[in-house]
Amino acid sequence: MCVLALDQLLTGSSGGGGGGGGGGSANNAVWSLWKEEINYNDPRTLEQYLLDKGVSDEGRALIEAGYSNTLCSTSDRLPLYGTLTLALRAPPPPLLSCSRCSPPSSQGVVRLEQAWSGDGGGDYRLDDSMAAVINNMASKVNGGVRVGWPVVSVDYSRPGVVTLTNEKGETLQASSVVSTVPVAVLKRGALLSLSLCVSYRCDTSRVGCSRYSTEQALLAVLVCDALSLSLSRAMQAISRSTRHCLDRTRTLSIRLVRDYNKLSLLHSSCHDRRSLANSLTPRNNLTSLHHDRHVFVCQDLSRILAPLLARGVARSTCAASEPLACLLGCLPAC
Amino acid sequence: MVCSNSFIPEFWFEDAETKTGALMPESVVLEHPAPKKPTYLATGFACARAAELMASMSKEEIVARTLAQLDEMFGNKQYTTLLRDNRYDLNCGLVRSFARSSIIVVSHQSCR
Repeated sequence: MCVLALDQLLTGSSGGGGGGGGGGSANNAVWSLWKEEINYNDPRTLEQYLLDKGVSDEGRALIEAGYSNTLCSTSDRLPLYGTLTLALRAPPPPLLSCSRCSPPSSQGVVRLEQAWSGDGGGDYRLDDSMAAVINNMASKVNGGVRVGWPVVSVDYSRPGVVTLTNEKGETLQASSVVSTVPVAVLKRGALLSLSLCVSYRCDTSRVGCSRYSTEQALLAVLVCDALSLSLSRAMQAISRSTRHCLDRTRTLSIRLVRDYNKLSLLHSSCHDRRSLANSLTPRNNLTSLHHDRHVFVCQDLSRILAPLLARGVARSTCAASEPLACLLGCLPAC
Repeated sequence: MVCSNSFIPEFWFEDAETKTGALMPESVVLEHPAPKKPTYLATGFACARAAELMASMSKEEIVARTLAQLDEMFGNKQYTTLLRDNRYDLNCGLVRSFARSSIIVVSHQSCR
């Protein structure tokens, strides 16, 4: 058995436990992988590459244990380049594969090393804490980082400008705001005015909702917020509730604004409102309504919801499996 | 540490005195809780052929062979086995198979 510390393997600085020059030359061979010119017609494996480089048996054994093992494979299974045909015709397979899977066939180790080469060699650890990273980033922020500046309102009524106001009435303007205030804090009224502004430019392939329409994604956000469900679960529930009524391909630009006392849903266009309306009919057994929760103001959906709201619906009849119904149950009458 | 031609190809060592709770699954009950001696977490990482070899072994056998390898690495004339060496107590030996895991994320650069 040859034992070599990883840093020794990395630098080739010491033979360590009998590694001899094998460790160093093996390391150099691996380190120079990223410099290799891509040749998809080259069928060699990593093992053959190491042999061609004259890496000793000891060195290759160390590469097998320290490099190929990390890639969940063996040196004679790892392709050096992969093939262009596979790379073009099929999506790249997982970079790492288990021993029972085929090795990564369209991304050889050369491509892999090229992906890492920009980071330089070695691993680094901060001497103290992540505060050094934060301080460095903060040093590049105009005006610095302000702490002890509790925001009480967010005014985003002017396009491109967001104005924050703190409890002393001081204001701060920014081009955008990322609010990380927990919903529980919002519900305690920490931000009395507009408290959360989330912009979605949802082309249905972003924000993890490729299988869902923008409307579904947006409703899912509302549902998971209201019911503390995970977004994926809410999405599934919404999908079940709305069946296939909604257009799943439409690209919309939607802005969701949540206020402590007001929940507004603004959307620039809704491709299939009728279908959405159909999906929101009282088939969900909504029979009465809570009056002490959020006001739901929706430029387009309000018309859809108005009959439901006027009819009055009850949360008590909502089944847990119907989060959409539960959401509507949370809405008071207009 | 990288161990060529060995049962376990890679070992990662952690001073687990303050990390044991975070690293161990909640369901694991240490056979010797609250050890007074320093606690270290040794993780053996085996894939491909090394893992295929283990697939047919019992957990006890895997742990025993892993310890034997550590003995070979760290043992000396006086202390040839870790288990018999009263300087060490084996708190627990876990074997985790990722064979049925759909996704395994490994930070390649960090591991190398």
